[in-house]
Amino acid sequence: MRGEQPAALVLGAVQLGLDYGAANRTGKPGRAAALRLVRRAASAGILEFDTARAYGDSEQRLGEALEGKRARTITKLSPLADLPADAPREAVRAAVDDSIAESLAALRRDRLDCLLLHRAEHMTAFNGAVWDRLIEHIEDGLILSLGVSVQSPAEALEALARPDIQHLQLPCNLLDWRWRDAGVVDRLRARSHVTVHARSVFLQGILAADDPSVWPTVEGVNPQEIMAQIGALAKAFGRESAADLCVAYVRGQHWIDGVVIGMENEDQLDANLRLFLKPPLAAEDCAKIEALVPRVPAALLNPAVWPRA
Amino acid sequence: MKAPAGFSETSLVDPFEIFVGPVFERRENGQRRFAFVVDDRHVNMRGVLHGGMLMTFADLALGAAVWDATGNAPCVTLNMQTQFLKSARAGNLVEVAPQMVRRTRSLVFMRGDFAVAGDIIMTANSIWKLLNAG
Amino acid sequence: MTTASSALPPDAEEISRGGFNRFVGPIYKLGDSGPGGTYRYAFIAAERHMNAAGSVHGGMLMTFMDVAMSRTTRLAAGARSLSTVSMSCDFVGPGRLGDLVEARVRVVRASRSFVFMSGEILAGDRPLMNATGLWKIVL
Repeated sequence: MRGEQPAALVLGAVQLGLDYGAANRTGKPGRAAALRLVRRAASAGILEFDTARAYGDSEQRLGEALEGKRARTITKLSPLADLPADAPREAVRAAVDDSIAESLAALRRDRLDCLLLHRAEHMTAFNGAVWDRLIEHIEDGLILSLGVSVQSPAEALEALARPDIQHLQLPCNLLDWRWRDAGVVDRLRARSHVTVHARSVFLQGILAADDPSVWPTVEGVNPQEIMAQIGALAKAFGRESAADLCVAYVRGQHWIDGVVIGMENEDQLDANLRLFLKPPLAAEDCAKIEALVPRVPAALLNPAVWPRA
Repeated sequence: MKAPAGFSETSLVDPFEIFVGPVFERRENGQRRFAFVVDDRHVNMRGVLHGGMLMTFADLALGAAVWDATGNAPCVTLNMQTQFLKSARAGNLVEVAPQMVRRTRSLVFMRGDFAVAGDIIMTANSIWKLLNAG
Repeated sequence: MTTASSALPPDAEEISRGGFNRFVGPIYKLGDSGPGGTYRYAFIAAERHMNAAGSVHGGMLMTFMDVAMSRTTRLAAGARSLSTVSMSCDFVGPGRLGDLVEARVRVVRASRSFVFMSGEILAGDRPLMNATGLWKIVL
């Protein structure tokens, strides 16, 4: 919740810099189309934009489109893939500083609104050198808010154990039972000042795609069956589509402040803006959905382990 | 309207602010100072700057300072208190350098002294709620 | 769909004759009513009054209350020349495009030189703003 409002739409900008997503068919837009999309999103009232150092040209596109405009940009630290595991502290600090400097230049800013670790393991990697350096930059005002992008409840709980964390990004959709089960939702109630953004509300697009062939092959998962169940639930709750139900469910979660949805063209922007005008599901309806959807294997909920197509 | 010396025009998005504007800004010690030029639209029938225009400028400037301090975090005004000390007239340049009094997890306390040529005409204290902070 | 003018009560009288009042207006005074001598005013929220988030701009609500309290000071204390000393405004809820926004002002106390007022702004039965104001009577 944001104040008394349900979670707001956050524009996910990965597709502006890279080709991404199982159900992403159009491909990365050109520079002019990307600028038009972001500017229209800002005019339509979208206040927050999600990107990352690792998303190719994405930060640059946002930097150019949003220059001089009032918008909050959340970006992520480079995955630091080139640093050897035994890198000395100064090398780690330099790599962190380089990533931040590149983000600032691309975003055309002199400070970062919000910086997340792209890999949760960087909370402790290199003897804590990455996190320590980021805290120093919070203190010198180069970064205004610090957080972590996580993939699992275990990572979320580890992040929430840190006093300095102000922002958490995690995947969440109406099939995802893991966050309640692991106690993440309860922990967040005790730390209400941490901003939570949900990504992947369509599970890499497959829940809204109406096409079983985009589903990964996971044992125990029958795509047609699950799609039929979600379709029936959408009808039962008076929703116009599976996509509508997916968004309404996540926005019905009181512990979520923003929903990051990747977009690459204005038709998708319009479709998402329409979905966010609708009311979220009430708490009791969310509970019904949780009771009625199948308990899918954790492997389906973690795209990192999906077999390569 | 040409910006006053040393100032550039602030990029505004709210229709009401664009309607009563323009507003100008200048960087000072890493923070933004804001200003507007009183014109015929802003005064009452006696030629005195209208309190409502001053309060609108306060909401704009203090709000912008909250965004600058929090990385553009979504926020709303909870309270604004204003004290009117002196009047101003068309042609005056009204300036403010907002100051953050205190920041808690979910609230920001921001104040400002509004002056014409160094003479304070109004003081404002405001409280803002950060929407993503529970 | 009702037009703006038909949303106004029939006893509405425009009080924004010039200056900033007229620039941001029109602003109306409504017939006296209300318990304990409440003075009522209104305006219709138009595109130019809004913020980017789709609510009536706080500056417009404060301006509206300033106009309402100034007019109330004139009516209640017979003052010909007055000035605002201080105002405090609490923002309670958002006003929306097309709303008939109403202010209700009550004189808490009027002395020879000062008028203490309390006011609220509503749209229908939704409260938008609570305020107190202190005005000085010059003449």
